[in-house]
Parts: sequence; C-alpha cells; structure tokens
Amino acid sequence: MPRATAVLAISLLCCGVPVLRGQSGDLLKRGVQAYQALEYDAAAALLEQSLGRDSTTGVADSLRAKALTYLAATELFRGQRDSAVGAFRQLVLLNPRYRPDELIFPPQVTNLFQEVRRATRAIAVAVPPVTQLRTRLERFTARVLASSLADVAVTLAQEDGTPVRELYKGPVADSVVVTWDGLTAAGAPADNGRYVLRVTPRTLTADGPRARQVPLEVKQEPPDTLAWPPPLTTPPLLPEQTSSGPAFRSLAAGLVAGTAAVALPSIIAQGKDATGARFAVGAAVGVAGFVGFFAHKPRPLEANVRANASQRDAWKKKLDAVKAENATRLRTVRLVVRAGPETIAERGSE
Amino acid sequence: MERRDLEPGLLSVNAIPWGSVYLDGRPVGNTPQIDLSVTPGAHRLRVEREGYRPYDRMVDVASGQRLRITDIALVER
Repeated sequence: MPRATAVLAISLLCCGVPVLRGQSGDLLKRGVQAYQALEYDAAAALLEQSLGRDSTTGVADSLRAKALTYLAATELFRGQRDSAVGAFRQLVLLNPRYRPDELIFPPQVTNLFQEVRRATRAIAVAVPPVTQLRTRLERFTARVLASSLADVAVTLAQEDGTPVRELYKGPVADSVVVTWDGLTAAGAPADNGRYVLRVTPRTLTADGPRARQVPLEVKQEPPDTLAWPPPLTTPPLLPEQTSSGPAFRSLAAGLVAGTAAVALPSIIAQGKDATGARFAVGAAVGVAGFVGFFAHKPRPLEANVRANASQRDAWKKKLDAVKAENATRLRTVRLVVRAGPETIAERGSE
Repeated sequence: MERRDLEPGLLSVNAIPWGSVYLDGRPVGNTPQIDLSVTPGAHRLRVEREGYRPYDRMVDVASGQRLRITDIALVER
C-alpha cells in the first residue's frame, strides 16, 4: 500500500494532472501524513508539489515554512542529505527566526537545521500591517531578524528611492526593534505617499544575506482636539452682592406713598385745595423712600467674591490646559501606516 | 526449520512527539525507525520520552513481514 501511494503521487506529478488552486494546504496535510506514515517518497512528492503551488498562489509563509521543514526531514530520512540542506536553506531565507518544532522533529533533524542556519546568512523584517501614530509622540516599529550576526542599515525612502530617514545602522545578532517617529530627516511629518522600509546588509557579498524591503503607505489624518470646559454660570458661582430689590422697593413705596399723600385728598374731596401740610407730608414720605433706597443699596459679599475668584482661576487653568493640549496636538500629525508584504530587494536597490 | 534460519521481519516505528525506541529492552535509537531487522516472533516494543507516558506493547512479527507502527501518539503524563 505505501508503494502504491508513492507511485500514485509520483504519477500525478509526472503526468502533469492539473491541480486546482487552493490545494496547497491539502497537499501539505497529505504530505505530513505520508511523512508520519514513513512513506517518504510520497511525502517528498506531495510536499514539493505543495511548495510549487505556494509560489503561484501566495499561500502564507507559515505554511511554506512548515512544508519546507517536513520536506527537509523527509529528505534526510530517505538519505538525501543535500536536498535536506537545500530545503532548510530555503527555510532560513524565508524566515531567519523559524525553528522546527523540537517536539515533532528528532535531534538528527533539528541538529541539521541548526547547522544550516549557522551557515546561511539571512535577514528579514517584520512590521505590523497597520500602525496609527502621532508624530513625535508615538512610534512605528519594525523588527529586524537575522539568522546569524549581521551588520545592517535600516532606511526609509520614498517609493522612487529618495531617502527620507535612516532608522538604524549596526549589528543584529538575533533581532532588533527599529522605531520611527513619523518624521523625515528634516523633522517634518512624513507626507502622504508610498514609502519603502529597507534593511540592507552593510557589507555586500555574493553569499551574504539579501536586502529585504517592505512597502509602506503613509496617510496623514487630522488630529482630534479637546473641547473647552463649559463656561462658569450661577450656580456654581455664588452671588457677589446683596440683592437690589429691597432698595428699589423702598424707593417705590416712598414715592407712591408721598404722591398718594398729596393727590388722594384732591381726588376724594374734589374742589378743595391741597394744603401746604399735605405737600410736606408727601415730601417727607418721598424722602423716606429715598432714604430707604440708599439704606438698602446692594453691598458686595466678600466671602462669595473670594470663592468665585477661586472657581474662576480653576476654570481658567482648565481652559489653558486644554488650549495647550490642543496646540500640542495640532503641532503633531496623526499618521496611518499600512505595510505591504515583505520582499527581497532588487540587487540594484541595495 | 530452526528459528534462526527464518527470514527476519522488518519493523518500522514512528511517534508524535518523537521518542526513544526500545526493542526487547534494548535501545535502538530515536523515532523514526525504518525497517529494523527483527527475528520472527513476539517482541516487546517500547517508545518513551521524558514527560510522556511510554508506549509499551508486544508485537508479533512474522518471517518476512514488513510491519509498520506509525500512529503512536505519546500522551503527556
């Protein structure tokens, strides 16, 4: 039966039977099953086929890494050490930090992998798919990975190659986190547009690691500003003087009563002349009204004035803080950075 | 026919996770083991790994038989 499976798998390859897209995962699964069943010829055929599909359909790197690991182990156990080394080398180039699962793969496999990893110099860069940041205050982060000690330069350039900022220059033993505050070398927020984050070995050799790059699309977004604090009203402000109502009531009462004292007798007893005494009474009552008015004139309430002053100071401090924060926010720019897939940079761009 | 004149059987063993294989108490290496030559008859097969319950079975291998035991799943203790 195992032989039959192997023959079937190989005949499928040789006859060029079309394999539908999206079957890479299935091929990988069957390849792993064949590996586990010790049907190494079938496993190698299926795993290689799954990798072939990957290159055209863009299946995730994680699946590709898994397929390469099983393929290398398969080749090793069927006595094809060079093929195993080749598969592991591809794996290291694909992801310098990838490690075969030591629970699944025995030491003869993991030891070979380590040997290949040490001999294969590779770098990679990993970035989050979307980053939102406020320039100067927050940072975009990229993790640079290396299979072995590498001396690299990490730069940001416009899509046409115009340099924007050098982000890092130095060694990477295993990985290093590189950050960008959203500013150009001149200190200005990056404009909207397409950029390239590139990791380049500083010493270029034929067998050295290849430069890696990630396209970035940067878009500016207006910052959010804070609302001002609500204006102070009464309450919570306290009245700062006594009411003017009693004064006006005293004045009005005096004037009305004085006028009445003069006018009422003439209205009630028509034809009689007013005496001077009535005018004197009316004037006296009117004057009393004026006296009452001045006696009840509004007076300042010192305690309330002090309390209100304190509240006004606090409110003004809040307003000043909001204004300062808004000014800071308006000085910064919110950037949205979208990253594309990592690729190997062309030789010319290194 | 005497037992030693019989054609040996071939035993292949694999496990997840990988483990150390013992045949009749004698260590033969890590999994996977492919086409171990064994005398016909009953043998004690043991696969063990630290932190896992060992797989321990008697297996009968006939003369000329090619026996594969590849579905061993070691379980954590």
